[in-house]
Amino acid sequence: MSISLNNVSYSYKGKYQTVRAVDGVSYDFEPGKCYAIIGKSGSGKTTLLSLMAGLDVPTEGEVIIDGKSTKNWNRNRLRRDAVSVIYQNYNLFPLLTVQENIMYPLDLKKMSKKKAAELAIKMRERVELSPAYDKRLPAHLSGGEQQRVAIARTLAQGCKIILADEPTGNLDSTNTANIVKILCSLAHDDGCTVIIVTHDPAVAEQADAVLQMKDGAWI
Amino acid sequence: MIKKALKTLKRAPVRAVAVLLFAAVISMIICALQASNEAELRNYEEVWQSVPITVTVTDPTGKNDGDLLISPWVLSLFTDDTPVKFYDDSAEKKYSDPVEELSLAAYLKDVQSMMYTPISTINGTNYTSAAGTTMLYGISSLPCDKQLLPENGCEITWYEGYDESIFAGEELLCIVPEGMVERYDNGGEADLYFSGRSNIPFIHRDENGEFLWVDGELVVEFPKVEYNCSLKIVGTYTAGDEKSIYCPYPVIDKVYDELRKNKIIRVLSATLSDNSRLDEFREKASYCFLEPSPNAKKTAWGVSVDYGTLPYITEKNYSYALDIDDNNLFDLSAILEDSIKFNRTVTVFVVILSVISGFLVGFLMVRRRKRDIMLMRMVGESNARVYAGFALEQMICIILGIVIGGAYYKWNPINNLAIFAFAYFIALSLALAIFMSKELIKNIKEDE
Repeated sequence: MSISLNNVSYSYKGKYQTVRAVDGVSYDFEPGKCYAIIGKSGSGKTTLLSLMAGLDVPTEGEVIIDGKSTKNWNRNRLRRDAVSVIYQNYNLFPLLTVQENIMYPLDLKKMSKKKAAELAIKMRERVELSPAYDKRLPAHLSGGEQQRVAIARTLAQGCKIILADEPTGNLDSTNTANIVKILCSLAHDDGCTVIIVTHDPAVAEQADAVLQMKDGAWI
Repeated sequence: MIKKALKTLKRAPVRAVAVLLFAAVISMIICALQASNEAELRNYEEVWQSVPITVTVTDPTGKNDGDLLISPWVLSLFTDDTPVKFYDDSAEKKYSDPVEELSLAAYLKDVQSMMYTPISTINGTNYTSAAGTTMLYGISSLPCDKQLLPENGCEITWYEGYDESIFAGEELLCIVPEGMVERYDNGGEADLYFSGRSNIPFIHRDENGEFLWVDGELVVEFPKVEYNCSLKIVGTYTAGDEKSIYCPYPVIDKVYDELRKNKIIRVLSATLSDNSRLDEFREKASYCFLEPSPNAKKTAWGVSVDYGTLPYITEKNYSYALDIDDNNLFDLSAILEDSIKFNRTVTVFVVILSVISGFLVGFLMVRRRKRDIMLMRMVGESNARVYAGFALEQMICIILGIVIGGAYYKWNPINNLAIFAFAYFIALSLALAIFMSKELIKNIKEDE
């Protein structure tokens, strides 16, 4: 599944002025590759990621996913079937166990409980977590473990476009290396389009391509 | 979905219990207010039914000191289901077809009346008290003659086995002034033989019961008829003028029949049988009774044929007023209405408060879960399912809270909240004991 940016701009009204967070960005991301978008804080990376995730639509231009503008996608379907996002703060359901968190998107896809549980175990094994984690709540996991669960959930969701917003921001170097390795393997082994927003050069180094942003545009 | 909601509630029990308790407390308060409102309304209805409304026939100024001359048709109006006929006595329509037929008997109960007649002899000898002619009074109850009431200094001594209920019957019994017993000392339980005479005009009627007219004039006779009556003394009374003998009303009624005398009732009162029909009764009564007014003038009664032919009334030139004593009822009603009004205001206030607090609690609960909402939407959950999931969780807590609150209210009066407070402090002490017994290092680790 491909994702393209076609002269994408995004403005919003701030308290005192209109802010142009993304300014005329174009790019074609290829499936099977891992991309890193780097830039300083406030450069528009996260806004661009949100537009790609279909959380909002560009004020100008288009984000085209699988040949169709995000304006024409059913937003829920886009987030359920096409694009999944991994965040710095993991975003796991605090009241669901590890297994239930991984199974959540499968429930939305109306998969049977038994099948969903089997798939959740596979995905948990893929991110190298032992079965002892299945019944634990996110509050009882370390940051690295939580991020692995978030990735396992993304894997279970089966989306072919994976966006990660500072996925290693709260992790130590060992965990960072492990998470990036997993993300890159999703691109290389599973054919996903993986786009990582980061300010960590060590993460960017692992990517197949690095895009740099400044003031909402590529440089 | 219900399973999921229950699981979430189980994993965040403090939040669930907080909502549940909130709902329970609100429902207890609303239950208590509702019960109080219902009790007030019941009380109000009971007061409306139970507070007696007495109606008394008076002169137009509202007075009746026992000297009023009340025509028999007024008593018929109070006691007979057969309507009394009213006629127009204007010159051209005089004694033609009745213009109105009316009975108030259906609205009244416990009719109290008093009538009397002079006594000529007692036990065969002429009897005259210092105060004048002795009278035989027929009364339906003690209050028919104020002279017999304790507040007027009267003390009645009843012989064994007798009390004031004799006046509700029709036995040949009487009570007499203390002095009279001394005079006719015969063991205290003797019969007295009375006789009396009447020279009261008697109006003849034809075979159809209509007044008999000859040459344009009513046929009136002034017969001298004697009566004899034997009554058993069953009590004595003090105070008063010592010239009155009191017997049950039906006894004197029979004496009047014997004398063929037109009955003149002195006191007539009754109690409304159904207070809710007060307005209806007042409207009907207004046809033949004035409303008492201290400045009213005594005017001639011009509606009833019977009235016009009774010389006593004509001479006195009376018409009647009806004193409907509903002051007690309206005073009590006003107090209860105020109380009901206050309760309703409090209920409205509590309902508004519960709506606002319900809104705030709901809002805060969702606000605390905004991250969950965001996550659910992020993985592609539809808005409807997000809404349904959260609504279900909250509804489970609220409904459970309402049930618990309602049940608590029903089984324990609200003043047993002390038990509630006691349980709270036990739980608080237990929790503190558990947490404080842990090693400090464990507390810090858990907090991290």
